Formats: sequence, structure tokens, C-alpha cells
Amino acid sequence: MKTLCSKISNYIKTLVKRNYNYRTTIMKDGSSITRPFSYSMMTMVLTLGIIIFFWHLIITKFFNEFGARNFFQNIPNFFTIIKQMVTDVNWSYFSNVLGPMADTIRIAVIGTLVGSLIAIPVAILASQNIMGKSKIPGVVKFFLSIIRTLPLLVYAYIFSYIFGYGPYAGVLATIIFTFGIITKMMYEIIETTDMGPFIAIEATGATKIQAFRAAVVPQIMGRFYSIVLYIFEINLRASAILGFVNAGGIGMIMNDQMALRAYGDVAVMVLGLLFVIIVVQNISQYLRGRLS
Amino acid sequence: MKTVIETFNERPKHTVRNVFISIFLLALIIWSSPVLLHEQFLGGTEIAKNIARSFINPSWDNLFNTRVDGIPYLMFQTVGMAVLGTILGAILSVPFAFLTAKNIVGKFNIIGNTIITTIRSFPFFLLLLMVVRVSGPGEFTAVLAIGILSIGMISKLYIEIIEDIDPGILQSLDALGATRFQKVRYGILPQLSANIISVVIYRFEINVKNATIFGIIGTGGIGTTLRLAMFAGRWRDASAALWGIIIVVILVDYFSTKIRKKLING
Amino acid sequence: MIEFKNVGKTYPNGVVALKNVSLKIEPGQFVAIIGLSGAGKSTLIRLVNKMEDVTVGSLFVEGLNIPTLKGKALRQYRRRVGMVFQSFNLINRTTVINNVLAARVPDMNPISSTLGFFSKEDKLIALEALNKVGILEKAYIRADQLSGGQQQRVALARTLAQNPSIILADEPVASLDPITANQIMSDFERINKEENITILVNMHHVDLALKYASRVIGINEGEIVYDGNTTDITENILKTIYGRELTDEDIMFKDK
Repeated sequence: MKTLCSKISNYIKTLVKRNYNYRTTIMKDGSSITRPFSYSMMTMVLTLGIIIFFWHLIITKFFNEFGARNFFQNIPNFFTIIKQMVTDVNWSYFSNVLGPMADTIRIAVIGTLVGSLIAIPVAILASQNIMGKSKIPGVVKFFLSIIRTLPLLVYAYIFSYIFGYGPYAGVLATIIFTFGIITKMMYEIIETTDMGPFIAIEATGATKIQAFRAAVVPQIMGRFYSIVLYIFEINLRASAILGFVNAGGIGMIMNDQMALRAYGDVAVMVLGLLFVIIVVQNISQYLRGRLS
Repeated sequence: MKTVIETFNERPKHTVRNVFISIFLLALIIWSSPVLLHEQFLGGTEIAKNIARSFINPSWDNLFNTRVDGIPYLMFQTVGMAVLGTILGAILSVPFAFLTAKNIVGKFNIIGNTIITTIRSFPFFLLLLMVVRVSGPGEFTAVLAIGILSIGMISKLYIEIIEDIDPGILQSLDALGATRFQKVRYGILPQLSANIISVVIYRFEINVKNATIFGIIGTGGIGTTLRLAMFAGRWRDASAALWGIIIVVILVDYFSTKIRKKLING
Repeated sequence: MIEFKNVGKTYPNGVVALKNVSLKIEPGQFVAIIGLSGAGKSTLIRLVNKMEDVTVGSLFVEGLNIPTLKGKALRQYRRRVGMVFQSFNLINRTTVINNVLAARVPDMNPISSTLGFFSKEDKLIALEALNKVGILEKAYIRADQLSGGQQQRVALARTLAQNPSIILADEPVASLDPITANQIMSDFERINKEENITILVNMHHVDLALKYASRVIGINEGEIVYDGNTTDITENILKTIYGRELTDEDIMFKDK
């Protein structure tokens, strides 16, 4: 047993020595330099390995099943679609677009509104510096991080089963998403806010809520509104896609028209969407500029 | 010397403006509220209860086996789609960026800019459907779609880099006889590789979520499993898929934050 | 050999940087160019490796007609001329040896140079160059963790890795403190003697120039007003070059 142990340790020692010699260079005048062990080389090789692994998993499988020739022959389809969308815009379809587009906007409005309102109290509960020694912030943050892992569309998809097709599912999903992200951003802001005034006001006998209202709120209000506007923009874009999982909005008819290959109709919808997004973006940029 | 009361009375009042804003917001909210109306639940309460119950008790077998339809394998697949898609996006962004940088194409950059903005505002699901017309509903399609969508964020990064080049190091490479390509490879890339990797990893996080979502309409990975399970009413399998998604996102989030912190600190 | 014949340089904005410059520099000389800021010293040096273009006159280096060089021929010529800058111009985020290896890149085949695969000989050349300037032990350390003097040495090692016949230095010690500046100048002196490389330095610190160079060229408002041995310089000659009395700005070691 002892000889085995010493044999192994000797072998490891020779490996280490060999590696050291490999990394060492001796100069003409006798001085020497040893290159430090490079972790970045290792990570690069590892990354390359990962890529090759996935390549095999997905891409070779695809070309085996679908066929390379098939694929390359189909590539022009993509550009034909784009061309059709750009040239054959079906303006007469526009009246059909207005209703769903309105729904899309509504989903974003209510979702952002309710989500951000709920976020405020929870963000306070999650801020360690307001809650003092309580364990509540830790628990709240934990549940928040789980809620935030599921993407918006996954929530929307599941809700479409529970609440049926239509914007209701979309609104709920948006509320949850908005709640998750705004709470996180807000508690991060609150936790890095200067607590001096807060402690001072608490010392005058005010409750935590009163002190919060007086000392913290003025410092963060501007950023809060800014964040809400930013999230509203994001929700608007996401709203457009909710329809693809039947959760309401313009996505639903987009899905239908795509299935019918009515690219001209789709083009009108995309344009309408782009228009609304750009308008909202500009208003939001202006307002956020005024807020800072 | 004004009194306190006078100063208080003369404080800037935005009454008119505030009233307008309040009315506008109120009108917006009232106009939007119909989405909260909901007629029937289509037996949804039953489904909700089932989902909730199975959330606590997912299909443990699915979660831990290594079969092709087991959750771990699917997690790998989904992450794999995101990896390949992100890399594709990073590669495709290079020509886009070079053709849109002001110091290379001057005024023509408006073409590239428009294309990039369109990609960024394009409903991403729609793009997926368009790619499906090329390569069918499959994992590869998801890779392509993710790649194309990533161009938006990554080429913006490249453009910023190209437009803010430090001339000093380029001068010294020039002076020792390097070609233009070598100057970029040895003068620009080493300085910014950390920044590039950071953004690419951030985009990768987003792409993992997108890969999951794309799966819901059938392009493979965990998303498709979720859809099949939900459709067939196999709630426990569905919740296993959900837990799979949660675990993947948490892991990806953790590692990417770690790596990005290391990159910043050099 | 470097040969200027009636060289003039006028910038597009009309500024005349050099006029009627004629000089011959033999191989192996250590030449210092001194004069006021803006007198044309930097321009003169940069004409040699065509970082600036000659407006009139001819410039031949080792038989090559410099103004006519372009593309591949120009890059090949620049391999033989090393350049050291005032601001070092190192790649800060990477290691010292990677900085020196950059000098080997133009000689490598496209695949190796794109992937960054340096051959063993290249790595040895880089390490030997670092050893020659005395900072071998810093080879694998990030460049921005070195002091100013050490960074300039890395830049010097980078030029040595090119195996040049001429080294140009554009205000190499202006950003350094007096002691480090002295060290770098003595590095230049040693390299000039041991490797027999022509050194052309431009600097505005007169005492350093006189201490290390063997030949001095004084420029005033774009024209050469003095060209001769260091030993023959007098205070009057310096006044002609600078057009005024010397101030503290022009001296490195002020406790004279």
C-alpha cells in the first residue's frame, strides 16, 4: 500500500515537473522564464469542445434529416417573403388590424400598471436596509428569482390553458413579468440609496412607512417612473407576440395570416406595429429625458 | 425679503400640466380596462388546480433520466440551440457592423442602421415563422432565427467599437508593417475582447429564453415538450418541463454573472 | 544609409514643416534631432518610415526610393524600420510577450497570424528581445501593470523583435521621469553599439541628447541649422537652434 502511494505521488511529481519544463524557456545568456499556467487556454479549448458537441447534436442531425439540398433550395423562400412583404402591402386589411392592435396596447398598459403597483410594496419588503434585521428580504428575493426565470411567453402559454384564449391570459402574464422585473430593479435601487435621512426621520419617532415616504421616496421617484416607461416599451413589443401563443393582441391574427401565407396582410400589421412602437419610443425618450 | 408664506404661495405650480397628464392617464387606463373582463373560465379552474398541484409534484422520472425525451437532454438541446444561435449572430454581425460604421461607409450608414433597427423591433416570433418556411419546424430553424435576431444587439456593439478606435496602437502596428486585417486582429480585438464576450454572454442569456419560447411552437427543446404535455393534459410532465426551464435559466444566469464579473476585473 | 535631398514637407493646411532638408546618415550612427516643439523634428523622423509623405525632394533609405513605396513593398520596408513612440502604444490588456510577438505578425502566414499561433522560434525571438532590454521576468505579466519605463522597454523589445536595421524614436522619454529616461537612453546606446542598428531619436531634452548621441541635428523652423558631432556643440550653437536661451523645459536634469 505504501509503495503504491509513493509511486503515484512520484508520478504526479514527474508530471508537474514535465509541465513546468514545458512552460519554461532558457535564454542564450542562461536566464530563464516560466510561463504561468494558462486557464484561458483551457477555457478556450473547453468552449470549442462545447461548440463542436452542440454542432453535432443539432446541425448534423438537421442536415441528415432535412437534407442539405432541400435547405439551400428553400433559402430563397425567406427573401421572397420579405420581398412580398415590402412590395404587396395590403392596405385594405388595415381596418382589421385596428382592433387587435388596440388590444395589444391595452395589454401593455394594464400589465405595466398593475405590475408596477404591486412591485412597490414588495420591493420595500425585499430591501434589507429598510427591513432591518428581518429575514423577509431573503425569502422575498428567493421567490422573486424563481418567478423571474420563466419567460413571459411561457406564463402566457400556461395561462391560455387556464383562462382560455384571449387577452386576459396575456395581461396576467404581463403583470407577473412586470412585477418580477420592476421589483428587482427597485430593491436594487432602494438598497443603494443613502439611508442617512431615513434613519434621521425614524429617530424623530416616525414609523418605517412614514420614514420611507419622507426620506426614500423623493430620491427614487424619478428613476421609478423612468423604469416604468422603459418596461412599458418592452411590454408593448412583447405584447405583439403574445398572440402567437393565443394570449391576445395582434399576434393572433399575425399567426393566422402567416399560416394563410397572406404576406401582404402581415406586412400591414408589422408596419402598424412599428409605427406604434416608434411613437411610444419617442414619447418615452422625451419623458425620460425630462425625468432625469 | 419674502416671508415663508409668500415663498410657499409662489412655488412653481404645474396644475394645468398635472391635470392634463392625470386625465390622459385615467382615460388610457379606462380605455384599456376591457382586457381585464373575462367571461367564462372554460373549466379553467380545474386545469389551474391540476397545474398548481403538479407544480409541487412534477414528473420526477422525466426530470432525472438521461433518455432522449428526458428533461436533462432537452435542457442540453435548448442551451445548445442558444449557443449555436448566439455564435451565428456574432459572426453575422461582423459584416453588418462594418457596413454600418460611420468611419467606414460615411453617409451610407443609414441603410445599415435601418436594417438593424428593423431587426430589433421586428416581432421575433414572426421571424421564426418566416425561417420555418425555409427549414421546417426544427431545432436548426430555432438556431437560425436566434442568430438573425442576435444581430440587432451584437452589431450595435461592434459598431460602437469600430467607431471609437484608439489610434495609438494602430499607429505602431502600421509602423512595423502590418496589413489592415492584422491591425484589427492584433490592435483592436485584444483591447475589446473582454467587452465583446461580456455582451455576447448577455445576449446568450436572452437567447436561452428565446430558445425555450420558440420550442412552444414546435422547434424542439424543452418548449416543445411543454407544449405536447400541456396539450395532452399530462400536467406532471408539463411541470417537469417547467422545472427544467427554471433550473436551466438559474444555472445560465449564475454562470454568466460569474464570468462577466471576472471579465470586468481582468 | 538614409539620404535626404532637398526634402520639403508642407501639410495640407498650409503649414510648412520642413524646407530644404539634405542629410546623409550612415549605418550604425546614433543621431539625435533637437529643436523647439513644432520645429519639424517629428515630421523628419516620420518621413523615414513614410508615416508622413514627402512633398518635394527625394528620400532614399538603403537604396529604396521611399516616396514611391506602397502596399506590400511599403510593408516589407517597414519591417526593417522599428519605431518607438512617446506614448508607448502597447496593447494594455494583454501580456508583455504578446505585445512583442505582434512584431512577428507581418512575417507569418495568414492562418497562423489570424489564429495567433506563434512558432517556437518566434516566441524565442520575442523572449530574447525582452532579455536584451532587461525585463525578461515580466514576459507573462499584463502590460498595463508595468511602470512607464518598463512599458517603453517593452516597446523597444517589440522593435528589436523585428530585427530592424534602423530604429526611429519619436520623443521616447518625454513621458518618463529623469532616472527612467536615463535608463531608456542608455538602452538605446547599448543597442546601437551591440547590434549595430542605426538609431534616429528626436527629443526636446538637450542634455540627454548630448549625453548619449554621437551626432546631433538641430532644426529650427523646418530647416537644419546644425549637423555635426555632439562634441562640437557650444552654447551659441544651441541658441541658434532654439532661437533663444535654453529654459528649464529643455533640460532633463535640472540640478546642473
